[in-house]
Amino acid sequence: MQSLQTQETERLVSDPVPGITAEPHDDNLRYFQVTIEGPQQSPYENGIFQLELFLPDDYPMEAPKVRFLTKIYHPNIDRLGRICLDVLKNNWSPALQIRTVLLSVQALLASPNPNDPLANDVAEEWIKHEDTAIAEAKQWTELYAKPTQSEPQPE
Amino acid sequence: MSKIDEELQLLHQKIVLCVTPNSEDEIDIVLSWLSPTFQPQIPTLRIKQCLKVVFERSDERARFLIEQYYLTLIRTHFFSQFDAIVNWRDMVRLERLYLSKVEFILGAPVYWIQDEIVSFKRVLMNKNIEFKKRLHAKLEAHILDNDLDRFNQLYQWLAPAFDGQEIEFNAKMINLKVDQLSQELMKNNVDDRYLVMNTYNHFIKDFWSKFYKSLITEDDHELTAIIYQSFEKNYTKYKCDEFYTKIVPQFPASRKCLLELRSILNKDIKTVGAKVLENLYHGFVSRFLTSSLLTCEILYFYIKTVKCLKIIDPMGMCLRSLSKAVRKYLNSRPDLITTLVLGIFPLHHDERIKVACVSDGNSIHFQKLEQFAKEVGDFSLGPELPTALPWFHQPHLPRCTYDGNDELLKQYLNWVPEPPRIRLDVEEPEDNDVKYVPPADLIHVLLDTLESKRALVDDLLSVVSGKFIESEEYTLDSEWQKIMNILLNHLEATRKGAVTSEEDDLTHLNDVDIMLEDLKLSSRFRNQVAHKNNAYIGSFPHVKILSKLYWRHYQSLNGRLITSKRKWNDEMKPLVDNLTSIYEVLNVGRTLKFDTGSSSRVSFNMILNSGETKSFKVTMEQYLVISHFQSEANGEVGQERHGMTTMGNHSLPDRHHTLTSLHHLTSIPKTKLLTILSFWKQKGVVLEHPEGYFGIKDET
Amino acid sequence: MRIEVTGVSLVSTWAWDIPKDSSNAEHATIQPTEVEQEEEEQESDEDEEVCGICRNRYDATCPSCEYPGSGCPIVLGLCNHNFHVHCIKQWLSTETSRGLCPLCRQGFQLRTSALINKPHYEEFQKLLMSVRQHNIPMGGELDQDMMDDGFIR
Repeated sequence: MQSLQTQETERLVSDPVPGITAEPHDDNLRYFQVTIEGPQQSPYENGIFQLELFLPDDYPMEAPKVRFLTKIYHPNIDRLGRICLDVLKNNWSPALQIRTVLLSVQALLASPNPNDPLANDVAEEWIKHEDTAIAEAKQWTELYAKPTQSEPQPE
Repeated sequence: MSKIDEELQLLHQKIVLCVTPNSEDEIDIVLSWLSPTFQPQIPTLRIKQCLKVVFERSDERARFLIEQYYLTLIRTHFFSQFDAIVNWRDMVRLERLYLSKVEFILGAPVYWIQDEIVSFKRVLMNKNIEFKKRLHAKLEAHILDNDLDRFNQLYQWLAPAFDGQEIEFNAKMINLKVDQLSQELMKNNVDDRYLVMNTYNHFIKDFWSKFYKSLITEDDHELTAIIYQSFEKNYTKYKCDEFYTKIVPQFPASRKCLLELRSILNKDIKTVGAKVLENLYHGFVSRFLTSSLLTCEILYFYIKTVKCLKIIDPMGMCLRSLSKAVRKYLNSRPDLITTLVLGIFPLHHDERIKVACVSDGNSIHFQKLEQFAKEVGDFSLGPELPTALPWFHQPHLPRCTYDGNDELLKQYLNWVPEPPRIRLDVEEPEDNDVKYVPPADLIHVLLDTLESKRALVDDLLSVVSGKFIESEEYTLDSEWQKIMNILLNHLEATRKGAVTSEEDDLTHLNDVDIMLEDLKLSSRFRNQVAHKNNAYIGSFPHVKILSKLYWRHYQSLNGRLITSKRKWNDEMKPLVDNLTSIYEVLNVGRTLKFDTGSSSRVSFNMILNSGETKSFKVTMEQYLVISHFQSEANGEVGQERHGMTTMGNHSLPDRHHTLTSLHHLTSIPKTKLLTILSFWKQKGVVLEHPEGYFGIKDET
Repeated sequence: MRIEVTGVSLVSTWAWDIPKDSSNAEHATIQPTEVEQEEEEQESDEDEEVCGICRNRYDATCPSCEYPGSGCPIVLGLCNHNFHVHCIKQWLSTETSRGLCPLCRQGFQLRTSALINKPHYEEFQKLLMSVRQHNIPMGGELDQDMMDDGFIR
């Protein structure tokens, strides 16, 4: 039988999720390079965000490790690109897949949750001055997540 | 007055002055007789008297002047005739004419006139193309006819006029003979050994021993060595031309010829050999890699060619390029894998048809395929091959019996698809560091035509799994067991990471592993069941329990296993139920789903009401259908089925069935039923009645 | 005409004996109404269901096994989610699992009626107990229903 990650990799290639790409690294099939398009009507619209996804040895018993490589202004994503998302932590289930995890990340972009923050300063701004925060997020998207920028901008 | 006439007049005057006493009249007569055009040629009495007078009265100087006068005359005459001289005889006639007067006067030819004539010949040979051509043609004709006398006559005549070109000319003549003999004896002959030597001996005996004296001053060993090489060169040329028309098709009859060719090429492998091999490579590509040939035909010629190349190209210089070209070309052919599988593995005819059908092998031409398969199987290359070709010494057995030779295919299957380095191919840079090892046997050569062995392993698994299921035992026959072992070794190497592992290889390995495990467990289960039933194991039905998922290769070739929604008949049901219940006890949580389709087989005797008995071995569904035609009086079966008691009696009529009633009894779809019924009709067992029902064709 | 069978060679596949559950009733009721004709080429796909964790089929092995069958059994959950024993055990031994079914996040329990589960009851009981205990200290946030659904009988 094919291994789980091969199944998943094949499915990601044959049946891609709109707005999401994930390609395994040539040298390490557990390491994926991911891009997520910013959801429409969100401050991240028109941005293309680079992420890395790594399957730990215990996958699927343990959640995949996902991190933003592109700088992003978001209350649940910190300066290092780490993501605060329940399915990546306590609410992980082995029935989840790479694609569902990435869809959750995309959903997180569409609806930030400042009440469960990871980047406290951003969350604070988001709660206090939502308009300014959204403007800031748009500006960052413009600055760092433009499709023409070939290089990701890790911190 | 022309210049020559002036000169002649001047000479005339000088002669008159030199001859004393004055004999002007006689001189007039003599000088005009000297003219080649003067008639009659034979001097009259008067002329003779004049000659006598003139020569008696002449001193040295006068005679010299007369010579000059004569030379001027004949020279003028010669050049006036020059273009008309085309045949050797024309010149001989002139020669005779010019000499005759001098001979008449002096009794014998003298050096000055002979020198003059030699220079005439020289001018002719140099300037008169037509003459030269005809003369050479004459000489060549004599050479080719072995006509020594006439050749010598001409040659001696010509010899003084060679002007330093005789070596060139002689070489031309010798080559002519060499070519003639080569063509006569070597061309179209691919059966004889030592053909070069024999032809050379022929040359020496019939030609050289007679002619060499004419051509060279003494017999020269170096020269004959060069002549021998010319024969070799011719031989090489002919054999290259005939390589794909005669040598390859007639192999192995042409083996001697190849050995000879090899010994010639080996003398100078770097230049001559490489050139020849390059030509053979291009010859193959242009001749065989064309869309007009079927894949099996290409492979057939490829195999034949490889066999031949193995002899003349032990380093694999040509084979290397060829295998690349063939691989590149054939991989665009969708039927390549099928053709290979059919060609390499020992399948029965109907198995071949099955493989061909499943693999969309519409282009498979069975007769030609047979030819190809036969060629692959033909390893008999004869014992007298030299030690330089080690693989020919291994006792190659008929195809697919790799006794003790599993290593070969194993190595092969471990082959990583990397294009071989090409020496002949100009595009690619030479890489001398990588030593090319030619494939060691034909299976390798053939498998080498694949870009990837993956598809082949797939097909191989299909065939092997079919063998497993059809076999009455739980193992394969020895021939197939070997193929299986090779496959397993290959897959095992993959597992250990010895070769690049494709995910598919791991999957294959897993499949094979589980297939084997299934068989082992099935065999054990059969023993257990037989034991529980107190049955003699030898007569107990064979049961094979498959992990369905891992037998997909079987299903891809033989169709899906049909494990539900069909009804057993009363004979099979107890057996199946018994097996299932025992299995469920032995394997908690698991149950059995028997195939009611075509992988299960039943053999039986059919006893017709006429008393005639027929034996069949058919698929389960074919059996199930026919079993419902049995006479109503068929013992307990009949009773159970209908709850009524009838005494066993052969004369009771057979049942009749409609399609619907059979469908009701078996749950086999009607279309499938029709196929099965037509099978039985073909066997002459079932008859379709015009009223729309089926019955047993038994009535006497 | 009469037939005397002289030899039989049977081919069978094995399958997990998964009893039809009441909640699967819709599935069961469909079958009799199925059209009689030509249906068999689409063999029932019930055995094509996959383990919710490794997503290999039930009759295939879990990723850590070599041979399918008795060596790599499946268990049937009360919630009608079935898994390879090895897969679900591995999951339930992690802290993150909190004893929940990966698919429906209810507390995982074995179906008592199923013969196929029988060899595994005891082991699962122990396992769920330990997961539960482990989770109690930090259990403030845990769903109450999980506690109730814990494998305690």
